[in-house]
Amino acid sequence: MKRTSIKIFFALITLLLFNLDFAQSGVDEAMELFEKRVQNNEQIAYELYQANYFFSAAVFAKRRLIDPKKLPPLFEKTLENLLLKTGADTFADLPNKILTERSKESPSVAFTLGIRYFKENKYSKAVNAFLQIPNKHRFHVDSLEMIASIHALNNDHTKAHEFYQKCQKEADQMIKRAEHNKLKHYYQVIGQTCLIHEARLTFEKGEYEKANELYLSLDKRSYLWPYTLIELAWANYHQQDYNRVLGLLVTYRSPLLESYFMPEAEVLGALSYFKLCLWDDGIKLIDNFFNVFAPKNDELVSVLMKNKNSHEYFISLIEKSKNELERINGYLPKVITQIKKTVKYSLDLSTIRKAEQELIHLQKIPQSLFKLTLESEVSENKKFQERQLNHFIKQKIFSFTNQIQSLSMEMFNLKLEILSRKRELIYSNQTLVADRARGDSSNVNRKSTQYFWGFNGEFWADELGDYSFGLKSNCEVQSDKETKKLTMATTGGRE
Amino acid sequence: MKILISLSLIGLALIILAPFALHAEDQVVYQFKKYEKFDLGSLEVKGNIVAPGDLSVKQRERQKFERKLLNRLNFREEIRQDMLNFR
Repeated sequence: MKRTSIKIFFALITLLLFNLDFAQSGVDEAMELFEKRVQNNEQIAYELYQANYFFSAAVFAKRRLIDPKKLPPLFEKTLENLLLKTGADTFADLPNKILTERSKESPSVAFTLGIRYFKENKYSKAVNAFLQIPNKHRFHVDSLEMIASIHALNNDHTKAHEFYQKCQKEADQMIKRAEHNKLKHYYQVIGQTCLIHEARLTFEKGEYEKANELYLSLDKRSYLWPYTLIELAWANYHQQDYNRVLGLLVTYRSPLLESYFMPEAEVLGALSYFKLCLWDDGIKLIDNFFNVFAPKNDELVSVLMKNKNSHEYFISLIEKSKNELERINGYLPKVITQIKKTVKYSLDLSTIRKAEQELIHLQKIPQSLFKLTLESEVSENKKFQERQLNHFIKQKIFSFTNQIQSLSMEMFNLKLEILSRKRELIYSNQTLVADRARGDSSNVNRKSTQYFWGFNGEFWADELGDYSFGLKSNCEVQSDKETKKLTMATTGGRE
Repeated sequence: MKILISLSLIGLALIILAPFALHAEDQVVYQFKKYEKFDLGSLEVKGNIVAPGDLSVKQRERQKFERKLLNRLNFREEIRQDMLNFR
């Protein structure tokens, strides 16, 4: 009896706290305004916004945007917050004409329009929209990142660099000004993304040393850091430091980075062994790829194909436990963990949860046209967000499986190349200098600022990303007792 | 007259049966040697040398397959995907 009363007490407290978020008085006033049938969408939007009914407020905010009257500054501030609370897609269903007209007076609308144009590949229009966002505006850093990326995709490297650097500087200022940790973290992610993109651009220009420095300047605590290891490895590959490449790739085998499974890392590893003429090591990686990864991938594709047209299957995967996912396919827990770490996933999921809560509260409103309008619009918005998230998860999983399939071809080519090199040696009656050349620390390339520690089979968190192998290049052939260097122009084995 | 007819009949019969009688005599069974020894060392070939004496094979030029291996030159797709999933 006592236990039941305690339960009821806690339930009442929870209910009270829950209700505190959604103020009933604001909804009553909004309903009163609605029933007067006076064109007062702006006022209704304010009332609902203040009562924390953000999705409902967005319905009337959109109606206000269609109304040609000039927008007051308070409305822009409300719009900005609504965009943050309900997601960038809430206003995306407005016609282009309305968004274009409103973008001149509302930076929030300009931001929505810019994103829409970017998704439609209309890059110059997107840049024009983003340029309308003034300095120190909440979306200014975001817009700098978008503009820089558009310039990068349009091959305008100078402008892209300029905007990426501006983006990093402004992100730092916004971090200092931000009052909440969540907001600080958000601007940190934007600043780090701009840094990574700048490094990618430098890589594309062939300035691998500089790209290396930029990648290394990224904070290791960033959730984006593990994804950059493979890019850093490619930069070292182009600098022919294959031992460093192998060291960077082995970082993915540490327990801390267990969920980061990068199929491309397997190919890059095999390529590095190939360049060092350690062909048997390369073949071992290739065989492992075909014997373990490829069959598992085929199995996953067959499961996915059965549900490819479903609007719920992929979103339902995120609610499954690790064991349940493992039972479907061994890769799924890793892929789902990676998806869960993305900003888009977190924002979209939180938007859906907020919409769900709001729908529960809307049920309490007495039956009326006002209630029906809000319920139908908010539920439509929620369905749209769910479908979008489902599509995002589906796209991520399929892109993972497609990557394994396309990399299988690369691995096959590499195996043929190794076998071809082996055959050439046999026909020319030559052998490599060693069957399985190992090395020592003398083969490790390191800068004056880098320390050297031996690896004793343990991964240390602060060492992650700094490993290097010490393998000796085996690109030397022996024939008739005289040893000569094999000039493998195409292999480029480090000498 | 009767004697003449019977003699000609006998003669005709002999002519008809003659090939069968010959065929029976022609049946020959051929058998190959089950074992034969060659002494290659004592074999001699007589003739004039008109070509180099050693066995020589001209090496055929082997076809080299230059396969295009994976090489990353940019991360454009990653930049595009980051922006598409921006928010």
